[in-house]
Amino acid sequence: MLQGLGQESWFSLFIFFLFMIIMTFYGQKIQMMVWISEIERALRKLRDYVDKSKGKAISVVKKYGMNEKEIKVNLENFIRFFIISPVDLDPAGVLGRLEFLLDKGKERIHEYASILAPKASESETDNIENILGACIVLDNLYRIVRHFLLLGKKSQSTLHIMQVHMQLPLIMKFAKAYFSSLKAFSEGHPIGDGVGPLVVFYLMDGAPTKEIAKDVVMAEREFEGRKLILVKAKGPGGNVGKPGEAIKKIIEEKKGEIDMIIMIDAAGKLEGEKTGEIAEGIGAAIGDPGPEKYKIEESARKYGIPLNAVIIKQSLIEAVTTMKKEIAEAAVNVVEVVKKRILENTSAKATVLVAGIGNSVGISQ
Amino acid sequence: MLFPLLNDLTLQFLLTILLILSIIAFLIFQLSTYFKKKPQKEVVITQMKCKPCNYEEKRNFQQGDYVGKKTGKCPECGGEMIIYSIYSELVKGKPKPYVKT
Repeated sequence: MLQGLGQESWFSLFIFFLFMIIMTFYGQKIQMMVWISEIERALRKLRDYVDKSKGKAISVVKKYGMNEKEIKVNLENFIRFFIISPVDLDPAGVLGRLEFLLDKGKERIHEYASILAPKASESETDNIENILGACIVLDNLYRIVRHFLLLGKKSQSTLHIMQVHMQLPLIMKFAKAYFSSLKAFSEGHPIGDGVGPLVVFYLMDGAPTKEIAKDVVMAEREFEGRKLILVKAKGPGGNVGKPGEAIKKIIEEKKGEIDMIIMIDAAGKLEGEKTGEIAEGIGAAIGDPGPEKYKIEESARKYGIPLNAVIIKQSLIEAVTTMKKEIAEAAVNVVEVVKKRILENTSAKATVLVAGIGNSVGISQ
Repeated sequence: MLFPLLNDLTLQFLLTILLILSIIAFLIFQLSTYFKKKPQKEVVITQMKCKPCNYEEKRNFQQGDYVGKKTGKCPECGGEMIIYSIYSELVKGKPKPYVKT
């Protein structure tokens, strides 16, 4: 049968078999080359983010005294800063140890921000802290991706290359969010995560405030015969504070005589959900690693205080960049939701604690 | 039967056309992502409000603005104007400076 084939057909057959041989023996290698080239492209983008974030940090910090060369040296030393998580093989007391380490880490970042910008005001130092935090995250991401890429290339391991490639869209989304946050922190714009403090700012309505815990302020005012205790992070610098500590302190000071706690926070939206969507629920609406949430839950449980949550949906990138119009409008609506909840669930002369959780950059009290 | 089919010039012609079409489709897809619609520009707006009379003003964000900052007297009632909200919105084309609304 093959004798009947012409020269052109032999050529087609040769190409066909050549293709089959290449794909059989080198298919996976070709696939890996495609993945490696995509990871390298993403890595170049990450490198660009790191360089630009450092440039942004230098341009912000040099306004406050130190010269550019000194800032560069200090920044290069500081950017590899890390916190080692506490041992959890014996989980007893792990939250206390975690809180201790997080506090010390925050103190160290604050010290660095003060060294880099000695002439900056308190709120400007807070914003520089956030900028440094974003630089550390971006640098870490870049190093991790580079590590797995080089490890995969060195060991010719499809597993290493594949796992980075599969997670690449998520990693890049995360990196873009942190890179975009630099603009908001350097210029002092409120961010999406600040919607909780913004709602409490509206509720405070100019009432006098005092600092109740580290970087957390409280105010008291009357509303329809009820006493409102309002808690938010201290602004307009980029602070999150220790709201759990503040709530615990207030509950203990009042000996548990609080009729309801309402917590307001930004929450990650699911794909398909609208930005600024409001949802109500039960529990401590706070996205900390654990210690603050534990204090709130434990204090509420101790005295049997109902713990209500109001969340405002937004994406990760919206949470760390300049507040979107939809979120700012949602904040006004949340005020009405909170007022309605208070009127429906408490009687006159009740005491209600309302806490706005989130970063207070660009939002005072 | 595969081999007699391979002899058929019409089939080879069809396969060549299919290959060319695939390459063209791939190029169009690549070009469409390259020339995709440019994103809208983002502007940051500062909204000021007078508490007694609810008079509102909007302008572009200026360095040093923050929510709760006192910005001066209200042109309507002489009350105190404060920054009520700062937010970003997307605008088509070149962003224009925001003025009183």
